[in-house]
Amino acid sequence: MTINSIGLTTLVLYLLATLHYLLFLVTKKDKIAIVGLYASRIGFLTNLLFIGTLIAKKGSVVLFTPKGVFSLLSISTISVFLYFSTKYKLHISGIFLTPWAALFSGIAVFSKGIPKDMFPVGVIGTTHIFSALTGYAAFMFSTIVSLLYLILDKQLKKKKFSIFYHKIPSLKLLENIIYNSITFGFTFITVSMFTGAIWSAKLFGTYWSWDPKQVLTLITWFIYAAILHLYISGKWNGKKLCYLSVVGTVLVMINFVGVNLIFKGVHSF
Amino acid sequence: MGDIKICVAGMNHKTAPVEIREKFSLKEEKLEEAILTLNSLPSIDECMILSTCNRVEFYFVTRSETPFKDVKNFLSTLGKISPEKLNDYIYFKSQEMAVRHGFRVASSLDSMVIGEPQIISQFKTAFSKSREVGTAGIVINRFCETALKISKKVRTETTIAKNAVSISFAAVELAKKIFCQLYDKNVAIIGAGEMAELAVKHLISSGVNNVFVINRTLERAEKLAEEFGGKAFKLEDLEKTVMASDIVISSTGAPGYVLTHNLIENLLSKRENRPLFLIDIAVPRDIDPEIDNLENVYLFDIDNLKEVVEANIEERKRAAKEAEKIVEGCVNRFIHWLKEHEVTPLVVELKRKAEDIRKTELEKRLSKINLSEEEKAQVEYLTQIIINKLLHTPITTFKQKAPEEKTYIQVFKEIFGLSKD
Repeated sequence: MTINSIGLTTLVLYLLATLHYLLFLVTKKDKIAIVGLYASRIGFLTNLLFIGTLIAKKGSVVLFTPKGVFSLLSISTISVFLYFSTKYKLHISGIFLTPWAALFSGIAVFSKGIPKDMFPVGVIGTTHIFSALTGYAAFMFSTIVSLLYLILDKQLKKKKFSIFYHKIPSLKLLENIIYNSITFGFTFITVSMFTGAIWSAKLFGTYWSWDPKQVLTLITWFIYAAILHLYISGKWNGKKLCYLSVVGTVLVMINFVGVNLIFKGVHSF
Repeated sequence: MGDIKICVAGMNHKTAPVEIREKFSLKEEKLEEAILTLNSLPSIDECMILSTCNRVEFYFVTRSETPFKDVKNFLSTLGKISPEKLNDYIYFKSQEMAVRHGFRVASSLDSMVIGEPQIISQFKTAFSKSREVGTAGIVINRFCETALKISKKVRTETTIAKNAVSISFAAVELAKKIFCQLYDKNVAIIGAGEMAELAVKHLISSGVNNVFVINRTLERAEKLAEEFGGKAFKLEDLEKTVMASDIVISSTGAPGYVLTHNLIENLLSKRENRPLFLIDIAVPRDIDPEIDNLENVYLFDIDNLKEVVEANIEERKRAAKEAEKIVEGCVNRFIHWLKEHEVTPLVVELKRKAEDIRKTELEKRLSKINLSEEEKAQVEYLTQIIINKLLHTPITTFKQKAPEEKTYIQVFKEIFGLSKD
């Protein structure tokens, strides 16, 4: 099938990027990291094409199938990575991000694309799912930068210096990136919650239905709101901010994977 | 006359001790005199002398079969040591070896501290000196320009010059690793000492906001503060000053800890999580090492700074490997150019000769027959194309084969009656 071969190309490109970033970690050669960056960039384009052809062929309802969700998740992961790595020259984050993009696009290629229920999707539904997944990717990125922060902090404390010491610009910059990506993700999750409520009102006549995913998302939302509040007020920063960001992302993961496996409802696919 | 060759004879910190190097060290007029003397040797076409405190090197272009014979005599008179003894200290390299050596020197790969920047300006000075006195011809010009280009490429494409390799610069590097930008950060120096003052100077040139100088006696503090353009404080103001600072460098002769665990712990709650970077250059130490266990505090003593420097030197060595590859790629290209460079003038001469013949013959004939402008243009074109087609094969074959097989040059000259020697 031609659509799946586009997906496969994307997967291969992301795997190529992953491989090169891992090689970069071992060999420390910048040129290898550049190959990884280009593979990610081209992968982003084929991923976009993949989603585009999927929607063109099956309609936007395809976004609510595992195939759609995971290809969206892989593209949002890679776009968040490309955005921040270009803006802050933080290519080393590719070591941690490209494997995830590869994993997601792999699941997308090998999973079903047949919609379970036929919801009328429309603009609101598409916005809902797009913003939710972009938010997840941004949170994931903040966690990965948090890991980089913890690594650099540890090396400064233990006085042991590896490639991370040489390639990470500074703790303060990482902190700014964590804050920025959390704000970014928080904005998108908020948008996703509002559009979800509006959509729900349209479909089922109620804004809120105590769906497990809704509840968990609300909890996550409050946690991130607290993180932002604590950071802006200057009470929590540095390592504490990093730990909180990791906790937030773990919750998001549970929310995303767990809810799907355990509960049956409008959010499982 | 043999092939054109580029050669180098020289010594550096690895091959010759300073008492030998100083005999050859050349400055100002002596340097000029030496270049001219070297250039006046009959076997030498072009030359350049690179003289720094770590190396003295004589680059020259020659066609002699024994390129180093004259140069050895020259060096032995210059350094007043016997030619036999010279061999112990001086390396003689020619062609690929010489080119590679020169490129490596200009890229700071042969320096005592890999990646140090001074060698580039020293190389530039040597080059412009030889141009000034007129001993740099086409080959030396091309060689130096290529070497400087490679040096720039190495600097931008590898991390060879990125990481600090001195204790005082390591302190600045660490400050940047923690704070990113320093323009809104304050630095405090407790006590005085050469290394601490140097670190403060580097921090000032990196743009720190305020400098606070703390000393037991206000008088001393004021003196140093004046030098840095900062403010002076007595030791009693220590707590207040550290509170207002982000970077603290301590270098006192005090026997006990100047900054105690309690003092810093109390400050931290008031600092609202602003990170604190402490540098302890004193022996015995001024800052309680336990402080490093506190969050948002980064304490580095003299040994830790040395570890940073060592890690950075390792990083430079790794970058040097990448740089070697860049250099290697350019060596063969330069040698190829050098060999072709000998061939090109002959090709140019042959083309000019053919063109001269064509022009004179054409003028003679055309004046005798009556042709329209269009017909004249046709004849002009015809003669040109005959010459081009006829010369095409000999020229391309010659260009291909001559750089490797020198007999072609002689044959080419004889067959076409070219004067060039």
